[in-house]
Parts: sequence; C-alpha cells; structure tokens
Amino acid sequence: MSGATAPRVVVTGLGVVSAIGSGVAEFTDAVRSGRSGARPITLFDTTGFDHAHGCEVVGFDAARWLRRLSPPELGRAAQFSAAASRMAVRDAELDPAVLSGSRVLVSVGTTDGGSHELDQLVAEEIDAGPEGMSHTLVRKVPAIALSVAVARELDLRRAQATTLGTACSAGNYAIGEGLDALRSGEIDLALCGGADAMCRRNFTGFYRLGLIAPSRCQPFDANRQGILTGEGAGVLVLEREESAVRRGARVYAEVLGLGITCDAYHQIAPEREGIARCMRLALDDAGVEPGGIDFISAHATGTRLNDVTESRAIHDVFGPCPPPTVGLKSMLGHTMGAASALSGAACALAIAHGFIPPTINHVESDPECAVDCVPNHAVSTTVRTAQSNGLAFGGNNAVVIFGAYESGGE
Amino acid sequence: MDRVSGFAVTTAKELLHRLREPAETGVVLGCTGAVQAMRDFTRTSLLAERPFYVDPSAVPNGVMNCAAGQTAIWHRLTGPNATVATGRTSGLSALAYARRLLSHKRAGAVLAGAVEEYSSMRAWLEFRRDASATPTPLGEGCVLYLVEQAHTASGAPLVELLGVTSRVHPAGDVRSTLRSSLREELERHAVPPRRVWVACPSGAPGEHEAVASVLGNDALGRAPSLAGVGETGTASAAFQIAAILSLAGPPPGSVALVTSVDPGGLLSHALLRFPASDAEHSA
Repeated sequence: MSGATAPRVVVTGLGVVSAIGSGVAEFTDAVRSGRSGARPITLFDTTGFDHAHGCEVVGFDAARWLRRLSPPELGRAAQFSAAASRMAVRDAELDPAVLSGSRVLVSVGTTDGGSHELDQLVAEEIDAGPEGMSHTLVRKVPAIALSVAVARELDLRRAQATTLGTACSAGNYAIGEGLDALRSGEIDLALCGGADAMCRRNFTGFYRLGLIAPSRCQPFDANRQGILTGEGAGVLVLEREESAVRRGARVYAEVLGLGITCDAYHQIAPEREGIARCMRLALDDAGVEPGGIDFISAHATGTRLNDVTESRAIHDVFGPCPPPTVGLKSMLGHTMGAASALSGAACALAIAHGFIPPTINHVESDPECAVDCVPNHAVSTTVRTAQSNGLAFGGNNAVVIFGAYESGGE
Repeated sequence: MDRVSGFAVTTAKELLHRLREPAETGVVLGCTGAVQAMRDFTRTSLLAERPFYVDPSAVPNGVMNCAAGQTAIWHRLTGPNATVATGRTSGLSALAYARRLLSHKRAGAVLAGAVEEYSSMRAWLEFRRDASATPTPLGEGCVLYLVEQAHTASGAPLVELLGVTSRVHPAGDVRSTLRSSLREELERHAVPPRRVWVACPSGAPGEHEAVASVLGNDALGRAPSLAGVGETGTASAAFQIAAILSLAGPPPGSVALVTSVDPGGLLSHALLRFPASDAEHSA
C-alpha cells in the first residue's frame, strides 16, 4: 500500500529522554535554543582513555515517570524506553483504560539493548568468575526487554511488541513499522521509537576506530573530529487520522513516507548510492518532490566519512542547492538506536512550532559537504515538510518524511 | 567473519538460485548478536594495559545487525535489511516484519528467519538467568525462508502464512494470554480448531496447556521433536517452522500452528496453511 492511497498517519504524542532535556517541553526548548549535552562521562570508569566526553542523561530518575514498573526491575535502556512511552501516552492524552484494550504495536529500535548491564556482568565475572554473575543483571541483558517494558508499564493487553536491532537507524525502522501497520489497518495505535544506554563496549569500539571526538561533535564542520556517544530514548505515538480526529487529539505532524535500503557494500563505511536510493524511495512513498522538503535532519554523525558521504548523496537527490541540512547530534551526541527516533521527534516539533533546529559547535563550513547546516542558531520559519535520515553499520539506511498536518488536505 | 554471520551468509546462499531480483530482495533476520564476542571485547578493555587496546576488527561483530548486513554484502541484496531481536520468538517476528515489507511493496522477496550461535558465555547467561530450570543442551544454527507474495512467487509454495502475531504476557501468565490470543487469531482467519492438523509449541511452562485448551491434543500429538537440534535460542521458532515443514503427509489445505514463548515477556504464534491440492502446487 503506497502513501498515495493509504490512510493518513499522524503523530499525536511524543516522549523524550535525552542529555539536553526530558519531556516534550524541555526537549523543544533545548533543540530550539541549541543546548549541548556534552560533558565528561561518569557512567563507567574512563581511566586510561585520553578523552572521554559524551552526552549522558544525568540525574535521570525513572521513578518520576513510571507508574506500574519499579525501576530496579529494568535495565537502563528499558527504563528509558518505558519512561519515554509513559510521557508520550500522557502527551497524547490517551485514556489509559482505552489504550490498555487497544490493538497497539510497540516497536523499539536499539543498537546495544542491555549491553550497559552486560558490561557490568563482565566486570562481575572478572571479580568472581562466571558463577558470580548476578541473576538480576542477567535478566536485563536481552534486548526484548526494551519493548516488553513499554507494554507492561502501560498495561497493554493486546500489544504486539518488537525490538528492532538495526543499530543506529533502528529508530526510523521502528517508526516505519508503525507507519506500515497503521496504513494496513492491523493495529489501532503505534508506540514506536528507539532507546539506548551508554556503555563501555560501545564507547571503546568507536574510540578504537578513532571516531570519538575529544570534547564536542561538529557535523559538517571543516575541522570535525568525530562523534560523541550519547544515550536516551524517543517514542512517538502514531495513529490514523480518523482516530486522531475522532478523539480530538492535537496533531504535531503527519508521517508522509518511508524508505529503507541496504548498501550491501561495507560493514562500517556508508555508501553514497545506497543512501541516495533510500531518500528517493522515501520521497516517492511520501509523494513529495525533492524541492518540497523544507529541511533535512541528517544522520550527520560528525565523522569525516559520514558527513561527506551523506552530503554527496543529498546533492545527488536534491541537486546543487539542497534544503537546510542539520545535525542534531551536535546537541544530543550519537544516541545510537534512539538517534533517528529523537530526530523524528525534533522534526515533528519543528513542524508544529515553526523552526529549523541548529547545528551547534559550528565554526567553519566544510566545502566538501556544501550544505547549509543552520549554524549555531535555530531559524524561525514555517516548516511544511522535514526529512529525517537514519544510517547504520551494515549499510542499514532508513529515511522518514514528516509533513504539516492539514485536515482534509492534499 | 564471526560465527553468527557465517551461519546467516551460508544459509542465505542456499536460496540464491531462487532470487529473480537480488536488488529488490530484503533480509529480515532474527538475531540477538554474538554475546561471546561482546563479552570478550569488554573483558579485554577492562583488563588491558590501556582500555582501548582491543581488536578493531571485532567492533562491527558486537552489533546485532552484523549478520544481516554481512548477508546483504556477500550476496549483494540491496533491499530492506532488518534485524529483529525478540529472543526465542525472533523467527516469528521476522515473518511478521517480512510480510509487512511485502504487502507494502518495500521488497519483492524477503529472506526471513533467525540465527543463533553456541558459546560459553551464552551457556553461562542461560544458566545464571534461571539456575532452577531443567538444563537443556544448547544448540545453534540458522534457518531462512524465502517469503514472497502468492501471486508473484518464484515457485510452488511450501506453505502459506495466514497470520503471525505477538503478545506481551504479564509475568507468570503465559497460559491465559496465549489462550485468548490464539482464539482471537483462529477467529480472525476463520480457521476452526479441528482444521489445525499440527501444533508445535516451544516448550515453555503453561504453553502446552494453553494450546491443548484451544485445539485439543491431536494436533499437539503430531508435533515434531526438536530435541535433536537442542535449545537454539533466538533461532528456535525458525527451527520449529522448519520441523513442521519436514512432516510427511499433511492433509491438503490443513493448518499448522507454531507457538513460541520467550521468558523475557513475549509470546508469539503463527498460523500456516499447507497447499490445498496438487493442482495448486503447479499453479
């Protein structure tokens, strides 16, 4: 079912846990004002690394959000996904009793699942042998917990749940799964997004590959030095237009289309052609011409290779003057499986409130990228459409396009 | 290449001759990663002279989507490439995801299934998760299906996917959640319980009773034994389907049920229909 004939799908609620703010109001303010989440990492011992900044969610208290689940039962990433889902459902003003009996799809994307806890188990094993690994931590490792926790926290009795492990584009895969399941009518409502918690293994991997910046992330900057790892969760409430209208819901934006491709090229390096093809598929699905996109929230990790490859792909699709192309990771860090979910939330908010978020930490534009990255300060303007790019290891590309919702429109 | 990826890449090779358009072929793999590789990487970081004296070539192996990505790279499959991580139910989640890709024309064909590896760390985690559980020999392997829409299939169908769905079970309540979900699913597809010729549960507590209460015991009596492949974890539901397909003499048009329960809180089931008659085989 293509976007042209399918029922329209809209975003009616948002939940966010991030280094620059949790909850819709804080997050909106932070994204618009260009707040930075970068700071020295405290979640694990960073002794021996030459530099170890990241975008950690400091002082997160899951108990502030969770009503049914007790935080100690959950791993850090599952706390994020459950808390963000509770926020999203409240934000959407859904009746908990109605929700409980509805056909809901819970789809949560992740890179590392319960790896934050797996790292702690490895430390326990070093101290006390494998017999010393504690049951409570072991049970928090499987990635399935990230979606199951959402359904249990919200008492969803008819929920289908999926955890998608498509790494750093997983949030867009989850939004896409919700879009398709709503278009086909198999569900009434989708809670989809992504979650990840920072962990030593992930940080060490990127560090060893030489991809971690010393102190700040500078997408599209001539002197960019790499990523900062981050963490958090983004969850979007999606429903069909008719149900949103019926219950008088506030609509942030419409989900216009999705593209998914695989580069089938390299485990780590992105490929221009695969990314361009993905953007074209998303535009086709959305029924939008490239010239109709008002801004792109790029994957923009801030590594030399990603930003130049992605920019070239954008030029391939959008021509010599692409729309403003911003890198939210300058503020949020690379939140892995949550990254494209947070990007989707930011796109929906940008449309609802009329602004294009900035790329912060910008000093000198890289002529090889040749994009207007909206340096350092947001621009207030009407936003009718926004494209959110998600790219990942394994060449797993997923692009989602959002649009302003006008009833009866198009 | 790590072991999980090796399984997936070589299993996919068996199906390549059936693919007409590799560029439009998707891969949907149930995979929860290689826990041994992840453990070894962190352990090295914690014990080495400097925490980053680790093997850079091991970095991509530590990510759950490594095997699906490698499968695409080796066979040049540039369609959608997804990894689902729903534990023991992953093989069924992969079918559900594959079906959506096909019905929304995001892929022309999908290689869908699940993979698991044996490792010492996995064995320890299983044991430490629930030391009171009856120990089962752990197994490993990969099962992939070529999933296509009936009207564009490249050959005679082995089986038709009627429906696949999942439910989150409240802790300790597999039985009633599975029972009500099964009843709803049979009704949705207008399948009377007596049409279900074989039922293959995954062996979780409460699961067999739930299936029996909906279908009776005949279909369960035809369940193939999976003891030979061991407890294959993330690949287990995919192996259940393979076992069902290996059965001799299903009545034409009869239905098979596969149920799967993950201790992490999810259960899933699939209804599959055998071809109606020989005439349809050649259609």
